[in-house]
Amino acid sequence: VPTVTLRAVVPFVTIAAGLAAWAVRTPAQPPEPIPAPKSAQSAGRIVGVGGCAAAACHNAPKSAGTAGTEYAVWVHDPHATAAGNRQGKGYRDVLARVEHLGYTEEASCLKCHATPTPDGAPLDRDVLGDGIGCEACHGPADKWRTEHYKDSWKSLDPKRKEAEYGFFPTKDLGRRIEKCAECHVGSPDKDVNHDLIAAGHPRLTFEYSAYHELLPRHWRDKKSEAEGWEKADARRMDSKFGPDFEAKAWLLGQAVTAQAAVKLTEARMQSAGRPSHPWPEFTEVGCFACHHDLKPKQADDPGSTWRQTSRYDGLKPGALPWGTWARPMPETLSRVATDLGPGDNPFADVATMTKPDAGQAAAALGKLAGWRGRCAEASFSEAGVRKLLAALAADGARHPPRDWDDAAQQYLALAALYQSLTDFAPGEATPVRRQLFDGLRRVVAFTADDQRRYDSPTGFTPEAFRKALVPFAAEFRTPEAP
Amino acid sequence: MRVTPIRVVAAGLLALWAASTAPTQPPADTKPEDVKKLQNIGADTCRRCHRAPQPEDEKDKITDFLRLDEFAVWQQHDLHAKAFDVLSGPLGKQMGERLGWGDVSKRVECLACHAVNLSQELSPGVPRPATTTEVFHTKDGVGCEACHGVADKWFRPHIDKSWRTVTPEEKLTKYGERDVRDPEARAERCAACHVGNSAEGKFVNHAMFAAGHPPLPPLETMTFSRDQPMHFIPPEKNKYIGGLSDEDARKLFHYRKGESSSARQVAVGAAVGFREAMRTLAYEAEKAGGGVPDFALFDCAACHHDLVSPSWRQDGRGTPGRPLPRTGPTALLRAVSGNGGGFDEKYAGLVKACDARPFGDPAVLAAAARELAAWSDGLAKRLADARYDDAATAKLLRDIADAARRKDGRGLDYDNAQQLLWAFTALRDDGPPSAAADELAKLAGPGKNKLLLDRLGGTGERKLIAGEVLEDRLRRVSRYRPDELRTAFDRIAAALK
Repeated sequence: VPTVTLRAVVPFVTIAAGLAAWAVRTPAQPPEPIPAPKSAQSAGRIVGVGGCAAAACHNAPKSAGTAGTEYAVWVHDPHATAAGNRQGKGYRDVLARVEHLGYTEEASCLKCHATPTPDGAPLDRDVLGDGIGCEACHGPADKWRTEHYKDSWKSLDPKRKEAEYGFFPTKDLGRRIEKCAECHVGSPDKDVNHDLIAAGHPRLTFEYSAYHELLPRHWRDKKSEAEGWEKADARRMDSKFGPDFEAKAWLLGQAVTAQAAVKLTEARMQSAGRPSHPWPEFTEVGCFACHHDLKPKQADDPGSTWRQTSRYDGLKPGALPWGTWARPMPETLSRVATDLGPGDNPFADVATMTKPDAGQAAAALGKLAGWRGRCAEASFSEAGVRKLLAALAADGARHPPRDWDDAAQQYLALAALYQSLTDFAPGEATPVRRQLFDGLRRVVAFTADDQRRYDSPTGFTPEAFRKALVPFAAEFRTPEAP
Repeated sequence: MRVTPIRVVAAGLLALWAASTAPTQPPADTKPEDVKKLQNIGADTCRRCHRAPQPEDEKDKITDFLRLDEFAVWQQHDLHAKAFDVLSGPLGKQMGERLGWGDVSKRVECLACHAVNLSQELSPGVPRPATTTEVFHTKDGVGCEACHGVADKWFRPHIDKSWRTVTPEEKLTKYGERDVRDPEARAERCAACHVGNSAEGKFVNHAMFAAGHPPLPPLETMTFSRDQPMHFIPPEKNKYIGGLSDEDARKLFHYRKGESSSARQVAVGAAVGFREAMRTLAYEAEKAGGGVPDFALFDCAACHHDLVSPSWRQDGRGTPGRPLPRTGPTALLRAVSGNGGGFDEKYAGLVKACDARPFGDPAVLAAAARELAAWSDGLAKRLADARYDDAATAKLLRDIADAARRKDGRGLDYDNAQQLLWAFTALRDDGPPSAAADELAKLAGPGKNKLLLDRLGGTGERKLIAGEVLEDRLRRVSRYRPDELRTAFDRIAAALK
């Protein structure tokens, strides 16, 4: 299926985002803990994947990809290999380079590189070896492990399951994305800050629909059915989604990601200046605003000079753009698809901040909450997906992206919408379109050689991306969005 | 024009009287009206005598002491003469647009270095930034008086031969003429613009760089003096100075016979350049209050590099993600200081201040920078008194070669490499032909398979302004590899033995 392969390359494109963030997901919490928000999970105890992997339960002795084989599928999930990564040189080097600043593995790494405990208590050694286990997403199982296979469990209200048993509602798409974002965007006690990234931790570039697409399915949905899973159970959440799932997941993912990003900003600002929370915190701004070789202009290559004209309203030369990963698509939506965007730019105040001011972040969060609510209710028809795809492509073909982050987010948006379109109408997937995506991907892909992995878009220019979108826009043009 | 001694004496007396009645501390800022009253200023005044030597000047042995074509050299070959004009060139216009400044030739931030701040030069050594464009003499760009001091008081007395017998201290304090044969004073003046001097309002901030201001190459004062090109006769070749007693040569012209004045200039210049960088860092850090000091104070390449993994930067000195200040190169500084002398301990204080948080704790950073400024000031004064005879000069050459060959695993960056190579070349060029000089000639030049280090102003017939060589420089910086420098100096060091 061409679309599947298409999405599968996304992580390589975004910074190594998928793979890197999967493989080395490291939240970091500086040594002095800041007050954690009240966790969505009720307090409970982690029992470890061993409690789930009984042959009669989730480790059934049959081929992976059928009900009962969740554990066998998860074993191949990068979350499972996180435990092994902890022994790797990359992981150990990061820790060694920041230990003198007071960072510890317990406080800064394990909250994401292992199953987090609700009260922050250290995990048992055995459970630590599991990697990011079932309970990292589904909630500590000590209260529901012996309940959840009973018939009575199925009729229990998800709110009660969460409040009384600590069973996290992963079937609620917005909440599920929130759970991913806790580590993949960051949260007050799971913070991959600039210190950790400078020490070697990959940057976090989370786009929900692509990350979701790449996970080996241990649940039933449209994709797992295509891969041979039995027909979806009507009670399972994903089956409530039809072919608009990818479009909807992308949209809601944008809103929840933006919320998580600004919440993290707010928390960082509230603690700014403490030794545990260095300020300025440079992960708040775009990496490649600063991190680029100073390259001369050449005949066919603008070198670094394209950066010298501000691509952010009111930003002075040499000033830093806030939130380059979270901002582009919400702002673009507000321009080209007003019914789907946040409208009144929620980032305007945050974006102009030069000094920590948590009050402005709080104001932005207010605006984002309303948008997220609308995204959760949104639904797409085939025509709606087609229209949005055309509108985004046309907009990108008119305006060069502001930077690489903007371009990568546009690519991911187009890929999600294209997949949704082909889920509606498989005939929409054509080799020509596939080639167009390949061309676009080449513009945003990072280069690498045998010795080194480049985490910079060394050859990227906004104009090259815009040009690549011109035939793309022509291909997807619709009467509604010329 | 020649002035009779009697008029010189009168002018001198007048100047003395003026100096004795002047307040000890100049006012905070000079009024434009005061500047308008100044007489005999501007390069046109100098041109009358310093354009071309006449036959009688040679007969009178005036040209034993000075070339008398200083104006012509400056006007025709010295890029300082274009300093004001470039503000109206394409790069100046671009910067004005991007910064929202409009005409940059009317901005004090730019004029501070691209013209002569007369209010500053009225009291050399007492820093004061200009607050209005009216106190600048712009016609000459960086004209004679930018370095020599405003000529209002010294113009008349300096014409007479007796001026040569006035001590540098008197020339400065009574007449406002700066003694640029003093290696420290000369380096201080070069550094004011080529490193920065915030107290005089001379500071290229990050916004200016981002808008397109070319990076400032590392300062090596002997090379800069030589490549202006030189409009003076160095003491070793100066027949007049050579004819003086040892005491007078030293007292009046900072020269001790049998020594290399280039070596002293290299050594003192390295200390002074670093001192001025530290003073500006301290000034700007204090100005930042509790906020983030201007990014231009920090190592450009700490942030400006493509991200690559694995990266040598992560295991260098200091903490990843906590940039260190743009101190200017320190390899030459360590070489001239005899590799240490307390530098490492003081520098560790600066690193610690920068490790405290990204871009440092401003108060701690300022204090650490002040300590280093005091340390390098002491070093400059010690080096000014050191003897650079043949043995000491040869040792300095070896020390510089060793600095370029450091074996601790960390390569030297481009600026360090460039400053070392410039310093080495300036010293080697003074010496007799040798195998080391031949090796150097092979390596220092332009072209393929040479060390990719640029010469000031390019290598062609016409000297190029910074904006014109920027692209070439950036290309060289990105292609530069520390290993090449090391290997090259291995061969040079072998040839030196």
